[in-house]
Amino acid sequence: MTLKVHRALRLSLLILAIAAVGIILPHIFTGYYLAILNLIIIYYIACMGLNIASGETGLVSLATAGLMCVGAYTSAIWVRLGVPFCLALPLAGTLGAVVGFSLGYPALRLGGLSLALATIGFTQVVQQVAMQWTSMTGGTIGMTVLRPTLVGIELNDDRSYFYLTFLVAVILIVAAINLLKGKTGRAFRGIRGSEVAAQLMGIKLATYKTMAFSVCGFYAAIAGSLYAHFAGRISPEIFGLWLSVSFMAMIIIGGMGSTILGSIIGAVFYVTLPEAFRITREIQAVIFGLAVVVSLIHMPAGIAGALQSLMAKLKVKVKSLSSGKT
Amino acid sequence: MGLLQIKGLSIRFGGIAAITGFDLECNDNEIVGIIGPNGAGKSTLFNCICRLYEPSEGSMLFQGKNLLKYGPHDLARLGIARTFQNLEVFNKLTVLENVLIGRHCRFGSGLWSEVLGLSRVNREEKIARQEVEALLEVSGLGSEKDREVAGLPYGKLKMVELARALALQPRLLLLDEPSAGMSAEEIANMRQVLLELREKRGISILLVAHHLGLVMTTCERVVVLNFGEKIAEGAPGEVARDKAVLEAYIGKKTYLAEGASKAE
Amino acid sequence: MALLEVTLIDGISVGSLYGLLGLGLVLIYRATGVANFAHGEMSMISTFIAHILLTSAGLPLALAVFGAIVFAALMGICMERIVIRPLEGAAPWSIVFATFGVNLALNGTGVALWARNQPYLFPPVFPRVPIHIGNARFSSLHLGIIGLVAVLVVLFMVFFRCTKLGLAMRATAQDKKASELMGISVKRIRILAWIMGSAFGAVAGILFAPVVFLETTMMIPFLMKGVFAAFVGGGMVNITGALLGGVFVGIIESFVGSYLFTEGRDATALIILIIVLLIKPQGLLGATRIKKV
Repeated sequence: MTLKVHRALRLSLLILAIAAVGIILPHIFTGYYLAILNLIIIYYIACMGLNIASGETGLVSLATAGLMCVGAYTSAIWVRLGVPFCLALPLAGTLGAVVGFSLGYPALRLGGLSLALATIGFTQVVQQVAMQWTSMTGGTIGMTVLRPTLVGIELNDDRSYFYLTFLVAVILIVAAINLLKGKTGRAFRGIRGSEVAAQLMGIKLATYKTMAFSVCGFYAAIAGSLYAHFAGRISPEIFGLWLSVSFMAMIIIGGMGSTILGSIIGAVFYVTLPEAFRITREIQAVIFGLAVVVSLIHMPAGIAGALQSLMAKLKVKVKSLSSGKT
Repeated sequence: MGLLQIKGLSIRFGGIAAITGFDLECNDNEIVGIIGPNGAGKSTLFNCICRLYEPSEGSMLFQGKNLLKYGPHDLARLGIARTFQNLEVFNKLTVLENVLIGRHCRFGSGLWSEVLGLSRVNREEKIARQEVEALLEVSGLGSEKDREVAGLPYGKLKMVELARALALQPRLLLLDEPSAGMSAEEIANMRQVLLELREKRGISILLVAHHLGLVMTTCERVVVLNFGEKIAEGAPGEVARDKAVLEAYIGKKTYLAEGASKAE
Repeated sequence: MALLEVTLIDGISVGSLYGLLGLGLVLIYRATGVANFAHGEMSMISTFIAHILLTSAGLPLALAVFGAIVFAALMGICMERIVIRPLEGAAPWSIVFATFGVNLALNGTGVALWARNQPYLFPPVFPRVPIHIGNARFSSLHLGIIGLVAVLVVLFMVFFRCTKLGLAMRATAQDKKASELMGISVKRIRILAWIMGSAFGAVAGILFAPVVFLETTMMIPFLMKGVFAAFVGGGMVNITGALLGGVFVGIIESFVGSYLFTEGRDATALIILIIVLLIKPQGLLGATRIKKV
C-alpha cells in the first residue's frame, strides 16, 4: 500500500470516527444534559481563542466577554434582518476578528498589567454600547434571538443544534491545530518566551500580536453567535467582566497554553460544576475562585499539564519495565 | 566594501552618554573582538546595531544598506544574528523548537495555507526540521533536542542560543559573552567553533567577551571600549600593550606603580 | 454658582476615596510586585464586618471601624501567606490571576452571606449635617471624607518618608535583593505592605458605604475606578500619582455627572483610562522604562 493511499485511508477513518462521535453523543446525552453539552462546546470555542492569545502568545486578555458580545449581537441582529444564518455566523466571526485586530494595537504598546486593564476597559465599553444603543440591541432588556435555519432545516431542538456546534467546533479545532503546529504557532510561543529574541528571529511583533488577537476575536465572536442562537435570549449584563474573568479561570484551570486539551477541560469544569453539585452561583464563584488559586500554586500547567506529565511519567515507567524485562 | 560600517555612533539615556562617537568597520570573514570593562557600552552597542535602541547620532551601514531604516525584526532577513549576555532563550519550548524559530524567515507559506493544512506547509516544515536537526547534531545538542530548555545547564543554553542564531544563516554574528560561565575545555571548544564558522561558512563575527584569552587567540582585530568611547583598536598583541587599555582595566595608579617597578 | 463648588467638593471627596484605594493598591504593588485585584472585595468584606460589629454586636462606631480594620489587616496577612508567598517566582500574570481568583471567591462569599443587590444602611463616620459656606450647601459627609483622607495621607507620607520603616519600605519597593543584603527583612516589609494596603482599603470602603449604600456589589465599580486612578496617575508605580489620579478622576467624573449627563458618570473613569493608556501608558506622572537586555 503506498504512503498516499495509506494516509488517505487514515484520514477517512479519522473523519468517520469524528462523525460517529458527533452523531452518537447527542443520543447518549439527552434533554438537560444535551443542553449542557452544547454550552460546553460553545465555551470551548471561546476558550480556544483565548488560549491562542493568552496561553500561546502571552497576551493577557479580559476582552473575551466583549468579543463574544460583539459576535452575539451582530449575529442576532442580522438573522433577525433576514440574513441567512450560514452567512451571519462567519460574518460575525469576521467582525470579531476585525475588532480583535484593533485590540492588537494596544497590545503593542502596553505591558501585561496595562494590557489587562485595557481589555477590561474594552469589555466594559462593549457592554455600555449594548446597553445604550437601544434601537439596535434592545438596551438593558436585551433581545430575543431566533433559532437559526440551516439548509432549510430549522434547528429547533438541542440535538440538531448540537450537530451545528459540533461541526463548527471540529472545523475550528482543526484550524487551530494547523495554525499552532507550524511557524505561526512557534512565533506566538516565541513572543511569549522572549519578545526581544523573537523580534531578532524575524518575528514582527505588530504582525503576530494583532494576528493572535484577531484569531481570539474570531473564535470568541463565533462562540458568541452560537450562544445567542442557542440561548434564545441575550442581554448586556451577561457579557460583563465576570464572564471574561471566568474564561481566564477556565483556561488557567484547564491549562494555559494547552489550546486543544486544556480548553475543553476548563470548559467542562466550569459548566458541570454547578450542575454536579447543585450549588448556587455564589458558591460556584467561591469554588471556582479557589480552584484558580489552587491551580496556580500547585498545578501551574493546569489539569492538562498535570495529565501530560503524568503520561510522560507513565511512559518512562513502562519503558524501564520493558527494558528491565529484556 | 565592508560588511558593517558604523560611523560616529552616539546614544544617550537621559543624561548619560552610553556611547559617544563610535566608529567600527567589519569586513567579510573577519572576527572582531570588542572588549572593555563592565558598563563600557558593549551590550548597548549590540542593542543599537540590532535596532532595539535608537541612536541619537551616527550611521550604520550593513552591506551598503542603511540600518537605521530597519526595525529589529528585519535583521534576520538582512543577515544579522545575535546572542545575549543574559540568555533570551524561549523557556517553555524544546531545544528543537527554539532553533526552529531561527528558520522563521525561510518559511514562505502564509497564514491561510497554514490554517488549511496544505501539503506545501508540511513539506517546508519537514525540510526545516531536517536542517535544524543536522545543525543541532553539529552543535552537540542532538541528544537534547526534545528537552524543554528550562531544565538545561547554563553552558548548554549558551549553545542553544548560538545554534538558534546560526539557524538564521547570518552573514554577521553578534556574540554577547558567549563564553561566560564556561569551563576551560568548553572555551577551547568555543574557539574552534568560532574559527570554523569563519572559515567554513564565511560568517563574520563581532565578539564581546570578558575572557581575554579567547579574544586574543580568536580575533584578528580588537576594539576596546571604555565609558562608551573607543580607546584603542588594532591587532590583539598591540592592544594588549596599549597604555590606555591597561589603565582602563587595572587602573592608573596600579599601572603607573607597576610601570615604575618594572623600570627599576 | 453654588453648583460648581458642590460638584467640586463632591468630586474631590469621592476622588480622594478612589485615591485611597489606589494608594493601597500601589503600596502593595510597589512593595510586593503584586497587583491585588482582590482589593475591592477585601474592602467590601471589611466594611460588612464593620456593619456586623455595629448592628449585631452592638459595638460603638469607633470600635466597629477599628475591628474592621483589624480584620482587613488579618485578611491581608492571609493573602500574603496563603496565596502570594507560594507563588513567589511565578510569572506575574499568575499572581494577578490568583488575586482574581480570590476576588471571585470573596465576592461569592459576600453574596452568599449578604445577598446581591440588597442594600444595608451604614452610618457615616461624621454626623450628616449640612454646612453652609456662602451660597453653597455642602454635605458634611464629603467635607469629612476629604479631611479624613487628607489626614491619613499626611500621616502616611510622614511615615513613608521620614521613618526608618518607611525608608525600608521604599528600598524594598525599588530593589528587593539589595534591600535584603542591607539587612532589611523583606518578608516583614511585605506583610506590612499588605496590612497597610488592606487597612486603607477597609477605610475607603467604610467611608464610601454611607455615600452609596452598603451592598455586596458596591465595590466592583469603585475598585475599578481605584485601579484606573492608580494607573492614570502613575501607572501603578507612583504613590502620589495614585492619589492625584484618584482626585483627578473623581473631579472630572463629578463634573460630567452634574453638567453633562448623569448616565455618563460611570463611563467617565473608563474613558479617561482609555485615553491615558493610548497616549501615555505609564500614567500621567509616570516615567518611561527601558528594558535592559
